[in-house]
Amino acid sequence: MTPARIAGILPRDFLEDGVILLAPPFVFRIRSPLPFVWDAIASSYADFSILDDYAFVDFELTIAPVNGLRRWVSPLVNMSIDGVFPFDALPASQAYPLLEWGMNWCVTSTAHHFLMCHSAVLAWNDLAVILPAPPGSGKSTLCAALTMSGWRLLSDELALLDPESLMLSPFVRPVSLKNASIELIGQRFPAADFTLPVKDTIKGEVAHMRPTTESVLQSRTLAKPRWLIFPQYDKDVELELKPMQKAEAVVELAKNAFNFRGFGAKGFSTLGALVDSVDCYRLTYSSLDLALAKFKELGEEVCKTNV
Amino acid sequence: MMLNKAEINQPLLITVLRFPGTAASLDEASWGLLIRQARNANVIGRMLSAVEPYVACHKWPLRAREAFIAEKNIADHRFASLIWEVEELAQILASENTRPILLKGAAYALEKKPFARFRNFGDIDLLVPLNQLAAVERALVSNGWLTTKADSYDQYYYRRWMHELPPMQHIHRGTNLDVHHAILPLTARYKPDSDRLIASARPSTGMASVDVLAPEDMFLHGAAHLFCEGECENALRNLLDLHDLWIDLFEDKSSVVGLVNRAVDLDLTVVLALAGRYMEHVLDSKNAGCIAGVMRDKGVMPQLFTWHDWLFDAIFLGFHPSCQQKGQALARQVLYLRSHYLRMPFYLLVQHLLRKAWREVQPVNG
Repeated sequence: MTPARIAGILPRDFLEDGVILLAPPFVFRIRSPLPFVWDAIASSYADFSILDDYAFVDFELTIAPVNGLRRWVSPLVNMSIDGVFPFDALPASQAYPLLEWGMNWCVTSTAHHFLMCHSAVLAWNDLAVILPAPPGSGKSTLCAALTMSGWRLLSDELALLDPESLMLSPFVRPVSLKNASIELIGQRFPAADFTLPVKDTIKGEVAHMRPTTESVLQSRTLAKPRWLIFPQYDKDVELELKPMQKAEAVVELAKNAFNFRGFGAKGFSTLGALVDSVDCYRLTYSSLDLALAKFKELGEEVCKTNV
Repeated sequence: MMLNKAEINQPLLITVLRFPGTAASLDEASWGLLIRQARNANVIGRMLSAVEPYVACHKWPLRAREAFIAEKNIADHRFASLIWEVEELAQILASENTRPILLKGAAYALEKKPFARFRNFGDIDLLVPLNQLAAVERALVSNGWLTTKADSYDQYYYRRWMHELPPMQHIHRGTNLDVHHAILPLTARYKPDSDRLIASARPSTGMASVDVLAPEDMFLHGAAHLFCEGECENALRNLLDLHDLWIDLFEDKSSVVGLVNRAVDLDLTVVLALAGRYMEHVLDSKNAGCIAGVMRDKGVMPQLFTWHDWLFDAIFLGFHPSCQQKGQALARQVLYLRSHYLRMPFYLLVQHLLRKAWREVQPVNG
């Protein structure tokens, strides 16, 4: 039996029992009495599968209004993850971004069978580029643009690296865009589909872009790391791609790895082996078009040499 | 395996901890629930390592196998880091001619207890003699261990009434450290004598430069912590610690007599009786009934009450949403109040709680 898809199911069907959402390699049961949360899920997870009650569920998330007098003035929501409340309550309008952050938290706080890095991951013919970067570097913008330009999205937040095989596991999810990037991507790629922007979150204005159908269909296909590129948006530089020393790349990557310290020596040797197997660059850019062309060049070059 | 009715109504996690072989018949959905309950109770690694000898890993769902790999990946480095920190602490204290006595999780790990491999610990707990406390604190502070309580009332409260310094944290590494001079507060209902505990401590088998409590004292301290402090979230984890120590150290009857005698010496008969009762009730620990038997023979069995069962049965269910039952929230509140009631006399408790409540309502800069 092919699993049902989110698209085509009305939000009200979820209000009672929630839904078991497959976002490989993880399964989330999501519950919420808030219809607008389901509107956002139906839009950004349209191509994802929902599973029946016999499925192995990794995490149960419930997003619900906080009771009390405040609900009449400025209502709040909070999120329980299997009985734990990892975040403070937020204004109800932020319920959907809260859900996305909660899903990330589930993975980063438990999935230590992977070495996890804070980075976007995309693939060209199953060869992956890892884009590690702190917030504000333009990583998400670049990730959304590459996704809309034929690259396969693995994740906009999390590189899940198997320490044994050094292969990257996809964790396809909606791409989180902030502030000016929302309009930028919307204008550059009319086919991109967003959830309604939510204002005044801790990250500013936030909207989530639906991943391409192709990326969702391939969400169980592992990719082999090929490039490690540290992006930095700089309005004064059109485009600059500079090779990077491997030793420097290991140190920089370690700073972005969530559970590097927990892994100890194994973490160090894994990152070392990863960096050894890829080309390392620093990318400084302000022109999205030139950056996209450069990525295309990299992808095609490798495909040529592989033939 | 046939389960009786009471067992069927138990949370899945408890059933599997008691009868790990039952995991063989779980479907995918139940495995998911089992892992989520275990994660909530902080015992995933402990639970999976109990299942492994009965149900081979390759028969588990993929995600359960991965959860076990995740636990293994962080366990080794957690242990290595602990050894590193403890060596560092031993060196600092050696400059004051003090040998620290490691307590609880750190002690179990240092003693290479197999059950400690997957045990998380939020902090390192040390016991030092009261007359060396000031010197130890100075030495620690000058080596980067700073207090985490900035509030002057908190400082006063810990130093005047508690059995430990205000919690410390290493300025660079963030490791948390509790330095105790007793295992229960000075004002507590039960008064285990620290001098006796310290006199019986012995060099750790894992590290010659530090000590651990004698086996009986290690068990009794675990029980005192579990049944006197109001730490509900880890109640099941802490009961499992007792179960594992019990299986490791005391299963034969002659050793139980030693344990009971020691409980009498240390004024800890009530916590020992409770430990025996709930190891048997909740985890079906082999021969745990012996404790009550020996205590009765010796005429030192304290009276346990029905409300104890109401209170602790609810707490040991765990706090995953699928385990919650009517009255559990109330039991949790009562346990919190009880822990305070055991900690200090009533007039002090009223002062303390009023003080804390007043601070809550004051403006931050007030």
